[in-house]
Amino acid sequence: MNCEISQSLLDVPAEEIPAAARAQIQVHLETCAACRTAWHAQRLLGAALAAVPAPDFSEVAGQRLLARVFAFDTRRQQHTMVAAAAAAVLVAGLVTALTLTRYTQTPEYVFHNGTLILQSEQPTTVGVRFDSGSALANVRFTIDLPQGMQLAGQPGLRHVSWVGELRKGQNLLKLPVVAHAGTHGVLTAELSQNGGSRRFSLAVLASQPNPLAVRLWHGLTHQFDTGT
Amino acid sequence: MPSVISFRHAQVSPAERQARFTAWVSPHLQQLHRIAWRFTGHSQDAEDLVQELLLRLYRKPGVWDKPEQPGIWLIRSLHNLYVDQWRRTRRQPLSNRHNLDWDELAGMADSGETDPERLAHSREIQRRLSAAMSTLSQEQRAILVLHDMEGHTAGELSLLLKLPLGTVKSRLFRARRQVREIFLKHGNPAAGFYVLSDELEAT
Repeated sequence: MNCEISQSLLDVPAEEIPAAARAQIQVHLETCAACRTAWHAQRLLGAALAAVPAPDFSEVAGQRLLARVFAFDTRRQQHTMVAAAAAAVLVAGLVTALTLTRYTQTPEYVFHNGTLILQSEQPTTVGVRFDSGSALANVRFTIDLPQGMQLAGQPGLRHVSWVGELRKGQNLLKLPVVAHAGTHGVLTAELSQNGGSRRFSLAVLASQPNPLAVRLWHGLTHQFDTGT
Repeated sequence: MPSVISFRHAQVSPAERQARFTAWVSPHLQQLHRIAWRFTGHSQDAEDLVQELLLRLYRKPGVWDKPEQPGIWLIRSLHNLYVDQWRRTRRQPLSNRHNLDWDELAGMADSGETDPERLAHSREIQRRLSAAMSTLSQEQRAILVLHDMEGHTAGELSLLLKLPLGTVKSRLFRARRQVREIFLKHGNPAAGFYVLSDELEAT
């Protein structure tokens, strides 16, 4: 190995230099003072870079930073809501129906005599459709599940609430749920905006798999309006 | 065809969302801040960079709660933000801003060091490193920080940053060469290295 090759490898990360080449460099350095100095300097420079200190960032500083992030986000949401309020129309008069809709090809649930019937212990995505006469922003959706039912993958979570939007026409909410055997209660969905709200309720029953229920699925009309 | 209401992205209350985000990101905040500080060379800029990253992520909960290796994912996001976007939003070019915060650094570098002359030498080395690094492009600087300061290999960086290995190597090679040349050009290299050598032995 000569000096040109030796020094051309100065800026190559050590882990990228093959072992054989490293051995050759080592041999060369034993006889070449110039390259030895250059490699020593490079090693020290690398060590200096690795030794550059960084300021401590305490847990308290982290909490302050997160608090600022949340505050920024809240201010942005408030700003958006104020801007939308001027043109907003009460959701109560526009959302006309809550409709169960078949979301998958598999008949995992049926609707019969005003009751949603689920197979117990079986994670199921229930399709819930909201029909809206107009596009609506900043609508708060609140879903409450009956005792014995929870969001799939979220043990014990029966209440969820979030702000979203409705498009004009049909809006599909895919609600992943699981219900224990014997669940018998009411699922409620409330949509609110600007002080107005519309509340829908739906009776829910969880049972063991029932061939009759599967057959019923194909024979029932799925649409219904439970608006109150 | 009905519109799909985004349920997954906002299925929790604001308080719960904040709690989840805090739990998700908190273990990585110190590392993020350290890397951001090394990217930017300034505490306030580092906080601004991390804050902007977190704000963007927080607004997209469907994105941030998915990665299986959040630490790696966060470093990649921080790198991308720093390289691609953050610089454009700054009012001053980074090269003019990139000076270490000396008062702050002194407090850290002082650990046990009481000899003013040695401290001055130490600061001089840091100043020269800082000056050399300030000449790098954002891409080169980021690679150098992650490789030579954070200890990742080129192969790891290729995976971490989703960049071709050749790109990582060439950026790193050019960055190291440039830093070395600029570093040696400023001041008396031999003196600097001897002081540096002493410091390393001392630590």
